[in-house]
Amino acid sequence: MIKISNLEKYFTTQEYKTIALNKISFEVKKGEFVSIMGPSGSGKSTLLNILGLLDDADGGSFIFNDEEVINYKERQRAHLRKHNIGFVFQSFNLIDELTVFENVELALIYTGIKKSERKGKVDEVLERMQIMHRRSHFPTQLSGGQQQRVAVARALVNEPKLILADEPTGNLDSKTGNEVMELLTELNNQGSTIIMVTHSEHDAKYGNRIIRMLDGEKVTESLLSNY
Amino acid sequence: MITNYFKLTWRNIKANKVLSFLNILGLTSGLFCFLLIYLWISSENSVNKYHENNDTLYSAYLTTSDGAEYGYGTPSLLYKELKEKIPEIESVTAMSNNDRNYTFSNNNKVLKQSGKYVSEDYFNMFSFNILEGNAATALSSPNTIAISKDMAELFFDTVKSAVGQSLTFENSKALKISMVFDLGSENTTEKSDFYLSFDSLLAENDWMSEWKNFGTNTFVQLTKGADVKQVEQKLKPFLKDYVGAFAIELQPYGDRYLYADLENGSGKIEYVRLFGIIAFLIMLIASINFMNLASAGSMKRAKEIGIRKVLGAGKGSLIGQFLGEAILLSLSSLFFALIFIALALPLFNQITDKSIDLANLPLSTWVMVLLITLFTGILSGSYPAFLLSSFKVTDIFKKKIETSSITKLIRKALVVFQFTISVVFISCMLIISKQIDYVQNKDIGFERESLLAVTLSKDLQKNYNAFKTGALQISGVSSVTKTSHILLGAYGTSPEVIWNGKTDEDGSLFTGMVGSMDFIKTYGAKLHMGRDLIHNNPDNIEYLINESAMKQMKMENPVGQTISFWGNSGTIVGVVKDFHFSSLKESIFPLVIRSEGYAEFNTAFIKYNSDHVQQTLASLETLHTELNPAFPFEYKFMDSEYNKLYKSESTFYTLSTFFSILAILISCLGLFGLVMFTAEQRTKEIGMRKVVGASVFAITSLITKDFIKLILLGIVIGVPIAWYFMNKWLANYEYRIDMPWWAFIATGGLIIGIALVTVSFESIKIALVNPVKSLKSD
Repeated sequence: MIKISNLEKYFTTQEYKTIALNKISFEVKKGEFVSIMGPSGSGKSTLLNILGLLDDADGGSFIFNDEEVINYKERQRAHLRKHNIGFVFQSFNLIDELTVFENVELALIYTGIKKSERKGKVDEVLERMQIMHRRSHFPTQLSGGQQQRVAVARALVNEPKLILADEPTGNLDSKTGNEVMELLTELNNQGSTIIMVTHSEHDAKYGNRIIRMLDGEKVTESLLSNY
Repeated sequence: MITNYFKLTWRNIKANKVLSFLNILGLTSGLFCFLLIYLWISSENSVNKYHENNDTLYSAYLTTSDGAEYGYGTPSLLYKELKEKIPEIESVTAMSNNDRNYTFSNNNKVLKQSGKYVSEDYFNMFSFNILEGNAATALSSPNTIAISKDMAELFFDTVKSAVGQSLTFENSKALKISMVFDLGSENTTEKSDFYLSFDSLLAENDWMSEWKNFGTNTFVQLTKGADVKQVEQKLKPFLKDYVGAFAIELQPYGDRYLYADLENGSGKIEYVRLFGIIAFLIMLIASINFMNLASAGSMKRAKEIGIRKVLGAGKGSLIGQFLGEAILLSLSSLFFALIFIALALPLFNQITDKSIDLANLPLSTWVMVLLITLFTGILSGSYPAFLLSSFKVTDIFKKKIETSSITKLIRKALVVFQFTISVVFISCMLIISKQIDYVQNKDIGFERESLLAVTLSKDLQKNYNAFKTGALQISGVSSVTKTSHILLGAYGTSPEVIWNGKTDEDGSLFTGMVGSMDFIKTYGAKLHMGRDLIHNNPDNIEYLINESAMKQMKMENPVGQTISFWGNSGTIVGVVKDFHFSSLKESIFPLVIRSEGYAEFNTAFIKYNSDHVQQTLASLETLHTELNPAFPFEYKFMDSEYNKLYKSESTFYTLSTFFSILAILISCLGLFGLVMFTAEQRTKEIGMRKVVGASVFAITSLITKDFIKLILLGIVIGVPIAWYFMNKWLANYEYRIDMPWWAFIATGGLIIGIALVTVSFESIKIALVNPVKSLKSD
């Protein structure tokens, strides 16, 4: 599904050039649950942003669904993103002024789904995330775990081929964190491809494979027993 | 999608109450000013243009041989000649110069009404709503009168019953009512209660038939399709055989109201343009506010933008969203602005002498109002829209969005621009007020204070001597005279003054009036040489001339010399020092005052003691009723009449004061908002500074200093601009103040003061916050 080779990314300030990704290469197959680990500054979030087409790389190749996307224009990226990728963030990133229902619906609006279809799809995904009873609430009225469920619902509602999760449990207590991880595992079991960036050894083990990074490079790659 | 934006806009307004309030208040104030001025300008532009024949109606005016504009006064007989001799002219009408008051009576009702004389074609050329009677023949027979609906209702039970009845005119003759008209709500300068036959006026005043007397307005209507240029070619030499070197020119009738200053091709249009600029600038200030507040507040919206981008929103859709929000906000501001306009219109109409009614606006005006509002929304929303949509998602989520230095610079430039405009507005306002003050209090060469102008109606003109004797016996009255003119206006001028040594080519123009004994004493004018008028004897005519006339005639010692005005030969008895008998915008014209003259000699001037005004007025009224029972007692105070000369300046001043205050208010709203956001952005820095020991004062001045610098820059730029415009404006006045430098200092002080209050309020608040809180909030 995803194949990156020799991917590079630099950050330049007036005086320094920092290498964020140093010729990194790996592959993710359809249906995999890959955890990316590494200390702060190792480049894992940068990698995730590039995989999510939120950021562009400075070199290398990025093949998504058999297509080279490294030189895609902003418009093409936006198109690819909204139809194929769902995002889950550490800080949930819900729009505070919209209700739970509206936050999830927003993803459908941008993919151009008709209003009549949207309601059914949103309700269905909220049901699945067990957050239906909160559909008219605003994010600030929810607990952290509930907010992350909404964020996952939003990531899922377009039935994306890939879910990218950036430290999805980072802002949650361990019990709620576990619940979110169970949720992701379940989604993976149902066929979703997931790439997750995490600090937590515990969370990483929910995946089938762990890629460890340091200073913008892939240092190890290990298969987990549950794969 | 649209409902989503709409919802979000509404929730954003609710979530950011202060910001939204500042935004809507600023835009509402801006739209309020702009639309009010727009309504006024539309109204000014449509004055007198409602006539069905508007396209073919022209005012005739005369120019001198050297091409200098001369004026609307034309010979009274011109209308007859034009109609006969120029085939392209379909109709012509003569009209006496101004509305005049006459006394009408019927069944014990005695009332003064004001109106004028017009010739036969008048009602065919100009559109009137005729309620009763026939426009074509209304004034074709002698002793007929056309009256307004209001006047008809004053004298008769119904409008219908008025036609065919008679009114006694000036207690002397009966006039048969031939027509009742109604001007209703038309946007017109015609305020006449009645129209009389111009032919009757001519028959009663032989002097009017003199070709060299230019006192009458002439209006022509060209045949459909006639080429005005060709007609003008025919008109130019038309007067040669009658009066010599004057050419007739045509001005579209609808232009006369705004372009009455023929010499400069301007007039009231100057005010229309000026207010147009003011309206535009105020709208600009309000839009800038919006831009600044929205872009400064963009940090709050960054997360939302990031999420939308992640979910696939393109730049276009984000720009659309923010533009939509701005338009929505400006539409709601329009709603509030219209409410305020509806509330303010009665007062505004009163100040500007208009009758603008929101309920009667044409559809086109509403369409314009809507377009203006949409444009405002787009103008205000465009900058924040492009700025916000250009944020990068990764920067947003890393909280790495920093206001770029260009954005900061633009924001600062906009603030400077706003305050520059405020400085210009306020200093202009101060200078205009000073000039108005100057003209209203200037020594104009005669004493207008404690001077009463009393109308001498019919019988009193004959009984003037008895009236004067009686008036002088009243303890509060010190002096009485009578003159043909009330010394407050631009009068007709004539080349018909002849003196010893005048050459044939000398076309010097003089203003002529008729005065009587005690002219100088009553007016308090000063003699340059000679004496006051003492005779009122047709066989022994005396002349007073002013210094300008003396110069014009190139006489060293004119006293004792013989001159003649309109064929009345007499002796110059005195030279009066130049005094202003017109607006201070005009220089003092050569003036000759003759001691005896024509019948229209209808105003007495009474110098009174200002201590017992009411008592004096009561005694004068008793005396008037005794001598002239058929006419009501009518008087004017000369000082208030004088102030009316500057009515348009006063109106302009009142309005510009109001708009200046609003402009500075709007600017301060923006400033307040900006300080709020600056404080928010610098919360961490302020917290750190406090931790290392900065005082509240130090922090307040840290924030304040930056803003005050911008305002100082605004002042530095604004002052020369204001100086330039005011210098130009003052040049309109023949008599004017020197540029008051203190006005600029006062403006600067005022603006800095207001800005300091605005800025300190918010900066002190932020400086007082506990540093633990400020550091935690990051």
